[in-house]
Amino acid sequence: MQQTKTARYSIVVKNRPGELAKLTKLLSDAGMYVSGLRVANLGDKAAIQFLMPRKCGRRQQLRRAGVRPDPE
Amino acid sequence: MRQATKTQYNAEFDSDPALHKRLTRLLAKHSVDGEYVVTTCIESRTMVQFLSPKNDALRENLKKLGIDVREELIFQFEMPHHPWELHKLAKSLAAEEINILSLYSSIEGEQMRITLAVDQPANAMAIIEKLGFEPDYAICD
Repeated sequence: MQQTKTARYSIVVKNRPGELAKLTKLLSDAGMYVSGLRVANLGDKAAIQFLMPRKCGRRQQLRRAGVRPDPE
Repeated sequence: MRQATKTQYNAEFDSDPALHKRLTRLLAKHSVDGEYVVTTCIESRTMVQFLSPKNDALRENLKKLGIDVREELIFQFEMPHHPWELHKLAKSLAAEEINILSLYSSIEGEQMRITLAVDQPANAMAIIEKLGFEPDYAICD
C-alpha cells in the first residue's frame, strides 16, 4: 500500500482580519487541499500552521508566498 | 436554542519548560481531555489552548501559576473538504472585519470539521449559516 507523505508548513502573520484569507486564496487558486489547519493568535501576531500531502513544486510555490516548511 | 457545552481556554506565558510542565500536570489533574490541546510558540511567548467544560477552579489554578488565561466561545461545524470552501469562509469573515482568534480543523471523510473562535461571534455565526453550514450551537445574548 502506498502512503502519501505529509509536510507541515507554518507562517506567522499580523493578528488582523484577512490574513488567513490571503493564504486560503493561494491554496484555493492552486487547488491545494490541506489535511489539517490551525490558527492561533499570540499578541499582535498569529501563527498559521497546516498539513498538506507532499507534491513536487509545492514547497517553492509556498515559499514564494512566505510560507515555510517546518523542520522534519 | 442550543448552548455551548465547552469553553476554549487560552493559557499564555513566557516560554519556560518548567512552567509548561506544571501547566500540563494541572490539566491532567483537572481531567482535561488531551484530544484538543494545542501549543503555539511565537518568539518568547507560549500559548496552550484547550477545550474544557467551564471550570472556574482550573482558571484560578492557572492564574496562581502566573499564567494569563483567556476564555473564548467556540463554534464547531462541518464543511466540504475543498480549498475553495475554506477560502469562502476565510474571505467572508475578513469582509466583515471579523478576526479569527483561533481555528482548528480536522478531516472526517469528505468533510472538514472546524473549531473556531472569533472576536464577533454573533456576526460570524450569521455568516457561517448564510454560507450553508450549521454551527453546533447558537449564542444567547
